[in-house]
Amino acid sequence: MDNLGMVLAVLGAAFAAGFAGVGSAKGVGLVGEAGAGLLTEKPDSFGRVLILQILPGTQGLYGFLVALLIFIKTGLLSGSPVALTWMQGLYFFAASLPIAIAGYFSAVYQGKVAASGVSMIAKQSDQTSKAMILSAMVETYAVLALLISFIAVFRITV
Amino acid sequence: MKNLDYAYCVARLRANESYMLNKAFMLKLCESRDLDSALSSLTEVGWISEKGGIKDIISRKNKELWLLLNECVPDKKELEIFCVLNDFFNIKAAVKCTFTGAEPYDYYLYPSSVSLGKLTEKVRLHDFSSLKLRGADTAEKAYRTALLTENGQSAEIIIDRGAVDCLCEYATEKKSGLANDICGFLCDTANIKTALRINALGKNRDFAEEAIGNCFKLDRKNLIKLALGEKEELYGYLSSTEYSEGAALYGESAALYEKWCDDEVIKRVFSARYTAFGFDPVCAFYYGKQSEIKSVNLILTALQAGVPADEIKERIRLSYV
Repeated sequence: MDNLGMVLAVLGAAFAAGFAGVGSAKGVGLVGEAGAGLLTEKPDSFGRVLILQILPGTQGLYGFLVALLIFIKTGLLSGSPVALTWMQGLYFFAASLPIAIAGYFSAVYQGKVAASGVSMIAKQSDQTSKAMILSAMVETYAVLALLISFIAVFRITV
Repeated sequence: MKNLDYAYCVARLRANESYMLNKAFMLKLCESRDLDSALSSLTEVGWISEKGGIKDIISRKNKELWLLLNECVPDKKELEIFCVLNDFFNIKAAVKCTFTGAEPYDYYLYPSSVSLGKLTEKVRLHDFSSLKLRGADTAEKAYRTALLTENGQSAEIIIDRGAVDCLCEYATEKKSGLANDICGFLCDTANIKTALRINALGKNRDFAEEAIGNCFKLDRKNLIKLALGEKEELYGYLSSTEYSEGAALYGESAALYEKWCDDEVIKRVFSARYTAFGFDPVCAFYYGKQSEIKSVNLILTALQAGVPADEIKERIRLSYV
């Protein structure tokens, strides 16, 4: 039970990187499938498809950043972990939840919007910017979640 | 299959939709000087890649469409729904040709959910049980009827009824809203056509019971009863249904009714233009492309026969794009 605080902190880091990463993988995969469909017929659309495919990938990066910050704060990255109480561990765990949850769902939904955007540019290639804006709107909530997780982790005193 | 599994397929079909012929092009095509000029216009826009007769061009386009759908649809079994009418027509051709000795391949329609070679062989050998086709039972029944009664018309009625019942089955079991709606529509409009013919020809109850199949939104018993009664009563009943416009057009000509049916299908698939995933956009693309192919076939054939542009324009089908 002595390490419970560290276990909870690492679990939080795993949640942040894991869920946001899975969400991004799903989103990027979906846009990739749609992109492959479009590129089969119009190979010159690669640049446009790539931008849309990248968009749902950012949540995974946000999750990774929060996990990295938890590792830095707990000293795991430097190899000299600090002693954490279970309450401090729980703080870290709770701080990781916004990006874990919002990251997962926003990546999946952003993937759907971006894949629909691929279908849109399949018919009207001049509408790429609109497809990007629609998709980027979903990103807002991942950014808000990242900020909350970031501030929460940053403010925990160890 | 989950709707998201169609992401690749839908994007590919959307890209293909951008090459579909629109109404303005169709109207321009109707005004072509002659067949050669129309063929040149179609070649210019890339619709025709190889030269050939009208039949070859249309058959090639149908094969291209089927190939595309088979390449991108994740579950090929879903496509069987598009083959119902062709499958039953092909069964009819195979059964008839077994008795007449004619070559069935001259009559077969494409696409088909079963290999046409296998269909021909199985019908010739009267081996219906191994024919993995929804209409296998109907084929057997039609074959035996033709054999016993030496009456081709009875066999035809059995097969046409089988097709309608199969559509109704699909309409009630298929999960996709659009495919369900279209199968139901095709089933009901086929029954209406049969009922109106029975009424016009003054056929008896046994014939009506045999020919009118299961209905989707109509009341079958009532339809049979009215088909055997007064013409006005039958039209009166149909005018109270969603098929009233079509029924009124049938009174003018069967060709107008056919056009109305085709256009109604396209109107139904319009909603899928804004659907991002799932089978509905596939369904919409298939019927949209079919409508396009049908219109081009009509225009080319009419131009070859020297039909005036205005008359052709009246008959062309609604464009999906």
